[in-house]
Amino acid sequence: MPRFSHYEAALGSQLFEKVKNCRVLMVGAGGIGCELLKNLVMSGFNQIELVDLDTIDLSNLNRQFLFQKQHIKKSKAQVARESALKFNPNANIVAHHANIKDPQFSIEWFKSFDIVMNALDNLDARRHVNTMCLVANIPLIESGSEGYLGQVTIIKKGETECYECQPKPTRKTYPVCTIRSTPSSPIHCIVWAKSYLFNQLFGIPEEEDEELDKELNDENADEIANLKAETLALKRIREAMGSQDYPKIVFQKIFNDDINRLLIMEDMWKTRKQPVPLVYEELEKLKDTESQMDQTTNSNTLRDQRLWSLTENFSIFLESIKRLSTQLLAEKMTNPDASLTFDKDDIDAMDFITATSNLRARIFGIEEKTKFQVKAMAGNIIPAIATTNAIVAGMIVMQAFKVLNGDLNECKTVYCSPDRRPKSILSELLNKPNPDCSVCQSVHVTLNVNVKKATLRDFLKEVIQGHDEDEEDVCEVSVEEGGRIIYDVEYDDNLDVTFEKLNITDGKMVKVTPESEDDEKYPTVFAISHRETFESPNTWFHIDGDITSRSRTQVNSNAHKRKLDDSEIDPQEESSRKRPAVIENEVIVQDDDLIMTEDGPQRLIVID
Amino acid sequence: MNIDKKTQKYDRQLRLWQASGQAALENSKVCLINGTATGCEILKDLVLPGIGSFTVVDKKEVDGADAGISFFLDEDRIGTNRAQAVTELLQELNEDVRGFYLAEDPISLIENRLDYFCQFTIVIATDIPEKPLLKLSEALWNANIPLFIVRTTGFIGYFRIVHPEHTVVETHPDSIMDLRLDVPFPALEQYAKTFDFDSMDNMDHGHIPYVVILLKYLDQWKKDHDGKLPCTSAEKKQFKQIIESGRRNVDEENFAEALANAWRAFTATKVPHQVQEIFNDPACETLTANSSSFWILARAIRDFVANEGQGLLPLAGSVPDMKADTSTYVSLQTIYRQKAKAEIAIVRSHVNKILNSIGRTSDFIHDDEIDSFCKHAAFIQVIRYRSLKEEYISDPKKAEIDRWLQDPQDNIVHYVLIRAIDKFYEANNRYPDAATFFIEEDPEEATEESKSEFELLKTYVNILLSEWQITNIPDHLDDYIHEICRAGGSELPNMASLLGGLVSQEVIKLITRQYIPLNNTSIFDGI
Repeated sequence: MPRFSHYEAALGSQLFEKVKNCRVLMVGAGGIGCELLKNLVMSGFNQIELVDLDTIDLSNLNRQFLFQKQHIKKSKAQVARESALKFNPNANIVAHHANIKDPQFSIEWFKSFDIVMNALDNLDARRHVNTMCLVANIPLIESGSEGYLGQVTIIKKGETECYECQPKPTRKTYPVCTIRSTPSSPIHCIVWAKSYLFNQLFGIPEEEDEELDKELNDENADEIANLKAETLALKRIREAMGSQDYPKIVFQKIFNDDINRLLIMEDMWKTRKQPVPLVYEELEKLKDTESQMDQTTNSNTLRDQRLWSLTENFSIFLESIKRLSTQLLAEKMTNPDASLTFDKDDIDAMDFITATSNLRARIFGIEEKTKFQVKAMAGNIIPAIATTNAIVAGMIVMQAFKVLNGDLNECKTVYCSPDRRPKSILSELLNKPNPDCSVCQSVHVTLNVNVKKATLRDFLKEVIQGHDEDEEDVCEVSVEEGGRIIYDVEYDDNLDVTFEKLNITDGKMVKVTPESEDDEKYPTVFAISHRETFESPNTWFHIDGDITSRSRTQVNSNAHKRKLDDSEIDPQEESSRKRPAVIENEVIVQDDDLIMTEDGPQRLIVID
Repeated sequence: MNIDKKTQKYDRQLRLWQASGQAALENSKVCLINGTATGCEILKDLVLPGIGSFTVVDKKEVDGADAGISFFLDEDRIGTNRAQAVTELLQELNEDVRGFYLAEDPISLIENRLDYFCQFTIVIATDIPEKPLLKLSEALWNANIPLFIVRTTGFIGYFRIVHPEHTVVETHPDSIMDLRLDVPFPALEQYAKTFDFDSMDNMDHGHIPYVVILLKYLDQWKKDHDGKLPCTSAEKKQFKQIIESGRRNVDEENFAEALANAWRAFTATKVPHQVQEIFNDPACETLTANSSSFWILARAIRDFVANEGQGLLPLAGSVPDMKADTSTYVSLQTIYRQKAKAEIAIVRSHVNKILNSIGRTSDFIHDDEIDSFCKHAAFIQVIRYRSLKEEYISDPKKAEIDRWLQDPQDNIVHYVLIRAIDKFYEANNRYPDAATFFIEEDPEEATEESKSEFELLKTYVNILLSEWQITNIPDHLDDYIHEICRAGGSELPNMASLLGGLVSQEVIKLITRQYIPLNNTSIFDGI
């Protein structure tokens, strides 16, 4: 019997031909990705390209079955490909160990596929693929899972909701002063340990002066000056890295000197509990007396899942600094600019974050946490298991059959949710696009441009305003690329800079939003395609497509109004949009794995 | 593998079922009958998270179809024993799991050595015909071992859990909120009284925990309304307005929290209906030396409710996050915790009394078990499945099937077909499969062979329907019979994987005794 005859019979030979010949792009080779790749090659899909930037970690092995212990630290995309080829040696699988946002994965490249399947674990990449598929007009199957919950849906330009038609919850951010001076909950201590101290000591220290100045007011001038001085002192201390005394110096600085400095600002503690600095020598003494006593207590319980004592935190803090320093110094031997980045699955980094945040919590009278808990909070860990991923991947292929068969109207959003008994799987019809969505309702065109020659001014004059506009007129638009503001009415510093210098190169997307108040129009998204020469000698531009922007008022937007009104827009996010393109400075919980949970009927998303 | 490495490897699932669930998994022994593609997918999803051991029972030799459908099997394995082949390959997925196989015919094993299956924690049966299945299910039922019956055919998936009773304490509700706003206990009432809202400065006023705000205004309300809670929507609105009027400025987040949580003050604390039913259950009424700890604890809680609890369950004891200064929050937390602790001690004494009366020592139930039960008391669950004998012989739901069958949208038609296919197999020792006839000929044109296959399957459908005394046979049934014949009885890899995920997820819920599993039969229509 030929290998796929059962599929051919079940699908019909016409659809099966399409399955065999279609080109599939799979983004992500993690939990869902491993299952999906297996299902695809076992179901007769023959032309698969696979992109994943990640490498294999021990904590993947409880579900990502294409990987085994010997594969740890290797490329997920490549190992997944090799393992899947064993199931079907005839499948044509191309693996890219790369970021899907890399310019090599251009619109033209996306257009070469018949269908795109997301098996991602972060919002940012989902947004990117969503936009690319809209621009390329390729159907996208979007998916995610979290613990026992899973979801699969289809996104098709003009016919369904896109990934951004419903607002997504934004990252939680914390005011700098709360993190640095007046923490009041465990998460404040953890964010301080992870986003501030870890980076100051081992990572790339953030330039924070601007952020601090933003918070400056009459009441906190002393505090701000103090914080700047602290950071400066820490930078000097970093130079002592590797010396015998290094852990002790750091300890004294952050848990004693800095706390004492905070205490001087009496106003701050009128309504708050005063912090109590830790004294190195006292802890050392305490440790000695403890070590003379019986050591067997607690040894049976999991170290990660019980609270550490004060002296344990103390010892682990010193020990982990030593280990992280050694690691960093070793890397600096080969690369003088080396730095460490926080990884929730790195034991030393997690030891450091846990001990540091607990010591800080102790100082401020805040509840301490176990390493297991700290890991969840610092890493925004999403529970993940094999079973849900298997269900989700199976659903993706089911939906793919319908998409390939041209039955988009039969496609469904499918949820797997244990709260909705008696049924384990629910589905609902796909929603129509949200007429107010700034992503899928934008006009998408390809802009051929000589990025070396053309400047922002050229672009605004020639492409946006057209030649007939008055030269002195201020262009009432805002221009963004990858979340950076390049230009708006109040920010024209970049006008005479070329595209290339602005890092707007081949494959990038530039979004232009009309800002004039009386006539609200949809944004236009330009996919940048570099070209050296043009037919007309006086220009650096050529547009593929029509950029006449539709007016928002032309579309009835009542259907989606309520949903949008209900949503909360993070004020932080709002304000950051108005700022010019500089390095982001917020103290932010920096991790991709963000849960997005939305209220209302089963709008539960979707990770991993 | 040392403990820390293990925590790391299983980190993402420990977030879901903690160390206790993991321990239950690691102590489990799972048996798979027949190494089908679906069976292998189920085991894959159980081996990865680390069950203790698995055993595959299968006498078949691997053939070309197996190699095409099951991702574990490649052509090199053709001709070897299927149990051995899949066991070796599944074993590679996780070195912590032990894999065994038995190259014997499961049906003759059921005939001759039924007690063999009673050594397992859970048995998963794929591809076993009706008669031996009935026999197996009865033995496992009596041994109190859960049985999963699993089948896929084309795009249709079916599974069913057979087990007399499954009890769950850790049901993982969204939140365990037990604030007792309507019936504050003395220590809580006392504490709320220490807050004199009017004399507070703005800083302190903005940090009154919302629980105290609600307690304060609800107390006042009850005084003004003969002790009644706000009940009508007008009253609820009025109550919220009173809270709003106490707010000094819009920046007071604690008042915003109080308003958002005002509904909690309208909700009377009482024993939930499904817990009351558990209290009334004969298993709770009459305890014996064989009663499980669940029923002993349920009875102890019932006794607590009837006496010291004055009609209420033991306090859960946790306090949600809220706007408050640290010391106030900690005091509030301590008040709830101490009350919960005191009530746990009373429940312990009830438990000891019961254990003593049924001739057991008090160490039969550990303190942490009591802690967990008290915390989850409002969410405990008992699921009783129907036996296969009831479903197949003594009490098939004839009237329901008849009614459901008339609805062309209902999945029941797949149930009828799966049962009919079983009967087909039993008589012919093969599954209906006209697929090959279609491929060789014009796909649109039905051949003679396919027509006869259709008629044959239809005979068994009719036998079933007449067994159920269903006379009103709906038109759409024929289409489905056609579809089954056309797609063939074979498994599709993608369906095997999907169903494997669905089944293993329920297996994990049963083994860990956490989360609420599905009740009875589940049918998935992938078309």
